[in-house]
Amino acid sequence: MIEYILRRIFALIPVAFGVVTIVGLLIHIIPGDPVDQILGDYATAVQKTELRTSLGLDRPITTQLTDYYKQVLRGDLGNSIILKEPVTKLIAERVMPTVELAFAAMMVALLIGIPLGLFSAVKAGSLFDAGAMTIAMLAVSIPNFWLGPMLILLFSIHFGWLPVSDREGWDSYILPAFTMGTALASILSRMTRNSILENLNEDYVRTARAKGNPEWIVVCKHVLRNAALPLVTIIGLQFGVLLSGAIVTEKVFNWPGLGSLLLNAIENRDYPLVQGMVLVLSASYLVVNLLTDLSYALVDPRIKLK
Amino acid sequence: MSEPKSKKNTRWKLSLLKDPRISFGMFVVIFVVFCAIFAPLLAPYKVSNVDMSLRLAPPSAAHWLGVDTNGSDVLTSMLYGSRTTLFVAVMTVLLSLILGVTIGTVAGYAGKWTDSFLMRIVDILMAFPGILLALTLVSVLGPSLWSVIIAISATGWTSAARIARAQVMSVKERDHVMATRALGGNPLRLIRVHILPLIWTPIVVHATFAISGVIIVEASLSFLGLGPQDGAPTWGALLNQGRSVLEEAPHLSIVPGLAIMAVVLSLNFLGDALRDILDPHSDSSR
Repeated sequence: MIEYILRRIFALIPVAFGVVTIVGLLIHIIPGDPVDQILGDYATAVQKTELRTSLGLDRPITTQLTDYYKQVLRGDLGNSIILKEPVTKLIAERVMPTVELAFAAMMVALLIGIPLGLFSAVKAGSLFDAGAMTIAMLAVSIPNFWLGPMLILLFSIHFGWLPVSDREGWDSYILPAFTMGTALASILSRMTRNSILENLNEDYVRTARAKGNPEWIVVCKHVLRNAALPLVTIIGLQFGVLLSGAIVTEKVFNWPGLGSLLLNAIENRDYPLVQGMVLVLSASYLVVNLLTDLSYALVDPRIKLK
Repeated sequence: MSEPKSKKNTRWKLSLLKDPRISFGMFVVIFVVFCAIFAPLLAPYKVSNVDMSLRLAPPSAAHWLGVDTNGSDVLTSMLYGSRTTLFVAVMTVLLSLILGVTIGTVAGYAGKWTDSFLMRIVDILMAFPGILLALTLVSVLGPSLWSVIIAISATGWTSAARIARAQVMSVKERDHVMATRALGGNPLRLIRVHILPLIWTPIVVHATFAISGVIIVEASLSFLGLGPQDGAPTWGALLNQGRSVLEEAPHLSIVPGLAIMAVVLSLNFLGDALRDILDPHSDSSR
């Protein structure tokens, strides 16, 4: 197992190197002079020179890149041009709202998706199954930027039950969590259903039934455990979708997380902050993918052999 | 495989007609393409026609889908917006396919270090989660129609490349390809004549899903204020307007969202159905 873990971590090194290179080069694909873009038309020549020096743009591109690698390795992501604070500090301040939101969305997805898939599989072919799977198929096609406003329209404006936006109190989590979690719940319900149906014909299920176990024990104790394996991967792979969803959902609900920080940085042309955020988000995505693979290998030892 | 070709063809066509996903999907797609092509004839007003006194007016006989924050007719913007949506989606997928299939085929055919090198690039681009790289690229390139297309294609080609590579690697080992290689056939002609015709099925299925994916990404970018801003109306930009006036003018949020959902759903139906028909062995659970 340790050899497998090391091999997987080792394989990440070139990818991480490539990601840092692309992020480091971002500022150079700006058409025209990045300094003019950042400062606008009314900056003095002195201001321009100062910013150019502080961003290192006056040095050759290879020097800039090697400096950027060194800087990233030290854990330093530079300073925000607008907010004048270290990028790492700004990100750390905004990380919790997004993590909480992602966690709440995952809860919504798990609590709706898995029971729905389970019942559909047990009652496969029934009206419930057909209805649930049709709804799941429709729900997966609803984009976040539309589901969010529609939920606000219905539950905040029409019924007045929940707050429209902002992060204040536990009830402000409900609508954003459903906005982000619904598509994931649909995917999970379809996967759970398929996975359970595949397992229901296995020999061990026949044995469990033959021992006289009631059906719900067979399904919940024996089948669900085996069927849960592919779900681990799906949940891990959906992390990227969840991150994109967070950017859009935070905009809809005026949520003070990483998504809003990134959009503000883009709006203000605060490129060091944009670069730092892209780097941190991609790195966390890589780590989650790695952990997904490792956890999968841990529960299913056959994976390591491939 | 042993049955005569004509019989197989009729059955193929029959299953196309019988599938409700295909009829629904084709209906919506043809309708949107029709709207896009004939937008100038169908639109009740000109895009430049603005009446601020009617700002945010709800749907009425004069303005079937209401009026937006700038005093423009929503139906007109929706009709012209379908042009932007389809243009961006089709161009992006075409660009991604050309790039992806070429790179994937080269990687799969050449193997060895060429393959490892090209696949590392794919891995690196896939390390950026979801719309993050597209978002950043648009912000760097400036929000225009072509920067949106380039930004989405920049990561979009990677999945096409992976599919093409896997297909080429399996077809490469078949007898007729081995025979041509042994006879010293020109590799370019070999790929064009003996390999590419055999690998298009999963690529067509992928392209169908890719178009719906691009529509969502473009609409997300427009919603975030980073869509094409060369004057062409987009569905996502209408949604972005609707966000701040949700209470006064819900039609601004409802209408474009429904249109996006209908198109995305139909394309997903088409993709699912095409996969079932063209590629019966594949796993239909996504």
